[in-house]
Amino acid sequence: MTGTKSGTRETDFLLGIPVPVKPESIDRELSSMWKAASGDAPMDSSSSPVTRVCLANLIWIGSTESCERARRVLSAVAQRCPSRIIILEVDGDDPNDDLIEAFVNAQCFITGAERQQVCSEFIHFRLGAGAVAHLSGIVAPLLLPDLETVLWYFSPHPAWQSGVEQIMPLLDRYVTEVSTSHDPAEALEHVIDAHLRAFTLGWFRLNSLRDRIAKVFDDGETAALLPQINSLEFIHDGAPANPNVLTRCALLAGWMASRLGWRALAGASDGSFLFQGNASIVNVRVSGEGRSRAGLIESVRIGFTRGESITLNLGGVGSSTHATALPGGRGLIMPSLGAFSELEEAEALGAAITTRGASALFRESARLAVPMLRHFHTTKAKG
Amino acid sequence: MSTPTSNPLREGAAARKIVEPCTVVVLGATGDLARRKLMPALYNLAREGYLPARFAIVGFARRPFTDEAYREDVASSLNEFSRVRPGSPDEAAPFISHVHYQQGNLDVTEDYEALRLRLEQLEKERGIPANRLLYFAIAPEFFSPALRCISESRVLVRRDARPDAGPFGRIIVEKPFGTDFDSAVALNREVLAHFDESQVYRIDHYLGKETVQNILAFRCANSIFEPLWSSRYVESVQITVAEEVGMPGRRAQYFDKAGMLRDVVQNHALQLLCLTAMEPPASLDAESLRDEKVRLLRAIPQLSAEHVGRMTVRSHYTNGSIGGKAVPGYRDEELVPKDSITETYVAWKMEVHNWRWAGVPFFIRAGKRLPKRATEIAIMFKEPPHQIYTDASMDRLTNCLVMRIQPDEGISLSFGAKVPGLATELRPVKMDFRYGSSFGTSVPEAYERLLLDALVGDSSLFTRADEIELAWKLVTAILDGWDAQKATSIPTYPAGTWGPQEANALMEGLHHGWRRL
Repeated sequence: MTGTKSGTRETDFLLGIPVPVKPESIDRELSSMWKAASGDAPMDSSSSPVTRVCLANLIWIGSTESCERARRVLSAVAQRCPSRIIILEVDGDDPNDDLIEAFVNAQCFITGAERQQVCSEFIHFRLGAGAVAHLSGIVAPLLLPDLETVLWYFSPHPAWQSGVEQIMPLLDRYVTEVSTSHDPAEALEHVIDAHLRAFTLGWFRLNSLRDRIAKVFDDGETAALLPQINSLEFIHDGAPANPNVLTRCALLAGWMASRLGWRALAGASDGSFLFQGNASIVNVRVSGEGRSRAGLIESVRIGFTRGESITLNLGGVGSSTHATALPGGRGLIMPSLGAFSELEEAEALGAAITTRGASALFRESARLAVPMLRHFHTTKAKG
Repeated sequence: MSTPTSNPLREGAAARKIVEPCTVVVLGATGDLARRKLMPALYNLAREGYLPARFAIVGFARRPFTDEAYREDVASSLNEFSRVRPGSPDEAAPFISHVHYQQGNLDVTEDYEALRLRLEQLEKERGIPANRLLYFAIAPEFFSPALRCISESRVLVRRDARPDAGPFGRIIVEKPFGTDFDSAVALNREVLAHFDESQVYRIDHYLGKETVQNILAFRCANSIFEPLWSSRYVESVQITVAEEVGMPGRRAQYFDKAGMLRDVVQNHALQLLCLTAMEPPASLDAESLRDEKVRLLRAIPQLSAEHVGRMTVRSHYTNGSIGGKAVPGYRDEELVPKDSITETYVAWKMEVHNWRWAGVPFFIRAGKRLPKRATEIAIMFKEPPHQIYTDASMDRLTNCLVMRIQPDEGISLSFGAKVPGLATELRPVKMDFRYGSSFGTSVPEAYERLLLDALVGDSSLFTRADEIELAWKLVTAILDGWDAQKATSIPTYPAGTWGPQEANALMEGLHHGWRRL
């Protein structure tokens, strides 16, 4: 954990510098830190008042190697969704290592006309691999009542599974990232079948893209074309076999299939996947340009039975939409207005915490995405 | 109005307001309101994907702009006033390309006929059905001529609210909607002679504020407060609309004819009163909401001339200081007549004659050059029926629920708690919810919400003809009472203070006074 010590524990706490505390008295230590922060401690007289806000309990579990990235994302999430954030950093693989160390800090940002400091709490555990077996006892006492509890678990590890299962009953929502699995399709099936509200983060990254595609068909004239869709092509800028972007393309296509009543058929030998659409077979393909490691969906081309198509550019600000002529000779639409690119990880996680009622839509879409993803993963991996 | 379910891709997702292809015409397109509020609001709606692909904006005003020149003007207003400013010309360009300009006089029918032809041409080019929304961003003296010309030129025609009535045609009008009861009735009659009530959207921009909408959500989405929301537990309600500013620029020319009662109380303050005191509606549809507001206004008795003197206080500010700087008195402001008795502060004690509120005084105060800008609704609860904490050394505690409309938007509840220690001492503490802290997202401007609602045909945030007339009836009784006093001077208060001493008399008999914000 980084950060230079500045002075008292209370000051470090407010400055976001993790302060070591006894694991058995975390809440008591936090209470005293907040009390000091609210005015009793020797604070700078120009400090603005501190407000602790908490909308959710947000738990992350992962390895030391991924901890820094997780903290960055969680810090960004805290700004849009102030929470009690519990970080469970598992250090090493030794099952005999029962280490439990705890640190706390506040994550504050300035907001509002009165320049108020709004703070989230970070409780960071560094655990030996053996301590993972006691996760429930570590986490349960720290969950704030009457708030949703969300677990973000982007790199599942087999050795931690029993510990994670202990805390499942405590969760309201579970967010993973299936594309990091060796078998994303299988991982997606597990997410669909989970008893609680489980999601893959990629689903929320697609929030604005789903909205963008839906927007084209809000217009009654274009909505009439929906039954005539016979092809979908997703073009992304990642490597052709990039599992992240393949998963998201499959989820987008699965979403469209679920809303439009398509039935999954089979993968085709050219790498595309076929659905039975309303009026014809729908051919879904994914093309990677190989320009970036991360992989973002750049555009989607929607083809119709009469030969026309609509291409939506989905990346970046002011991107435009093109269309070929429609029956009757009139061109369709128009510049797109506004930015509709994929959400950043922190935005997506924030959406995962705050979005209500997304579970059914996700499940229906993901069920149709699974066979597609399995096919894409297999054929792209073969190259 | 399009609904999300007509697009299957919207099913299962959070409901979203869908705007049908349409044209927005801004009358008075080169004025302040258009530049500062309307164009930025439309831009932000476009940015967030609310405007349809097929739409156009047409500015209509006297100045001789071309489309290009007007687009430059709009681009500069976005850079200056938009909630989210375009990062570059390219970012605003897709929106700007939908903007057009038609020069014309607001009171010449031929100019509106030219406007109609232009609209028809644009609609044909862009494939937009003849759905039109006309925003009256014009001075009140142009309302009547504009209504007449619009109707005569058939830019808009009367249509009722039936779904099969054809393309929609709506007008949005800003306050002031009349200057008293008679003029409001006359204006309503004139508007309704040309258009159906369902086509008329009377804006009170307070209703578009997130926090004002939260009043109803707070009351009706939570069961715990409703049992307390009556004369059984509430001692009094104070509604405050406080402004720090005086008379910037030419504002005094309009304000001195209007005064605080017309400018703020008749509309904003009474809307806050309605939302606070009305019965919960059966649903959130426009008519249910507005029916309850009207029902509430009918339960407020008009003041007789005699009661006006006892139940209201009017005043204007003298020189003082705000924020450490000396400021002149109202009569010393530029363009204010030296003998003006226009009120810059009004306090009004009213009763609501219904089962829920009988015996509960409601206080409204609104003023300029008060110590700070603040709008809030404070529900002051009664003391316990039997007080066991009777130590004379302790101050009385008041349970007070405050809904802060602006700034520092939020809700707080004050209650008494025991001070830790061996003594039995109570102190007031506050539970606080603040919008800015709890929701990290940027809040849309009121005009964005209101424009979107008008575009989708949702009139719940707009005032109805009978609502406006009832509000004017109550206010006109006060204006008549003041006129009858034939005063040549009114009480004063130093700028930077919370109003005149005379206002304290309204609080006689209550164990608390005006809240110090």
